[in-house]
Amino acid sequence: MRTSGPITSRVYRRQPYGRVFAALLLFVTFPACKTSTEGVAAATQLTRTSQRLSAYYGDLSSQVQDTVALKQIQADVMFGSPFDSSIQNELDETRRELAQRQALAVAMGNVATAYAALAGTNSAADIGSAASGLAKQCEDIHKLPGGPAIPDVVGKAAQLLLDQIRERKLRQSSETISNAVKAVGALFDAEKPVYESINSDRIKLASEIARHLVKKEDVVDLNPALAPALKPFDLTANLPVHQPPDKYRSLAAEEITARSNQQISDYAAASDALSASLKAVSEQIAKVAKSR
Amino acid sequence: MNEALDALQQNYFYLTDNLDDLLDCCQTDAQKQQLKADYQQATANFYQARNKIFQANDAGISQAVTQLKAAQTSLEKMTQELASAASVINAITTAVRIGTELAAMAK
Repeated sequence: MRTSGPITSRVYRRQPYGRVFAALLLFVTFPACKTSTEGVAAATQLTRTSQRLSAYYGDLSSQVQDTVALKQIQADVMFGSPFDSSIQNELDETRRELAQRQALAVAMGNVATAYAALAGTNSAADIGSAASGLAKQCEDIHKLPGGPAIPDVVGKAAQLLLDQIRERKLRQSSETISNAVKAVGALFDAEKPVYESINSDRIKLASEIARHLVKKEDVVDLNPALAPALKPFDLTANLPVHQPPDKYRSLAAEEITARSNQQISDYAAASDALSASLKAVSEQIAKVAKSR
Repeated sequence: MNEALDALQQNYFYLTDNLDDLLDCCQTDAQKQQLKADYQQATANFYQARNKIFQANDAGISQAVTQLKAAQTSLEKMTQELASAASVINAITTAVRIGTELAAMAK
């Protein structure tokens, strides 16, 4: 025995769908994905900057290691005495400090990975799967009166609903991350002259030892110093091996000085570029926090 | 770079840049030994001062690492929550499917 007529029954069963669709349709009107797109772009930039920062500190640490070797050569060749171990202790301490900063860059890289995951890389698959699953399952609703357009709307609305949640979470987290990156950038800027001094120290030591070897010791092949003039004509210099004239030694020494200055200047430019990248990525993430 | 470190760097770099010429100027072994001792002291002064700059910033680094780790944990939690939201959608899907089957049965 039926407790209600067919029309009543149909209307009764349609009510829950109507409410769900109405709720989901509200999300269709929201401009979704802008924050996520900006978040993905910012996460990519943060990953790149973290990698550059980590490589920068790794290279700086290698430069300190080279400085230890140069100090040993300097002591042997220029002073004829053993290397002072207290200097090595100080340089070892510098390397430990740089290792801490490299760990900081790695931590920033880990944040970039987590930020990218939230912005869309991993969770997008879940969302896409959920949305397409929902749309597929809703195909039968076509059969319900007034339903032809609904499954597509439901599928889109489901994704938009999750996009809304994700974008709210992205905005919440972006300000914190931007501040942390800004702090890393401030530290980098404050210590940049010291980083540059580590690089200058290595280059100045190497160039002074090299100039000494060129001027005082007969252990350096000076032919490359003449190569720019001779190479275009397939000629090679034939300098006396043990007693090259002083003017050729001076030529090589001047080349060492010029290249040292260039390397120091290039390193300062690279440090400035990294500083600018840290500022830019911090601002890019801050923009995600404010996006609507 | 602070003024003290800058002064120590200038002193050390000047000696490094001109070490060979300065050694040439020495007329006795005693003078060379004195120059060597002075150079080592200038080196130690500069390296110690430089490490102090680094050490002074250590608290800031620890704080930044802590901040970054907290941000990472928070992001991972948020991503999990987002995955949970996707699960909720799946649950809705299931409910809709059941509802659809019920609707079909009612025809």
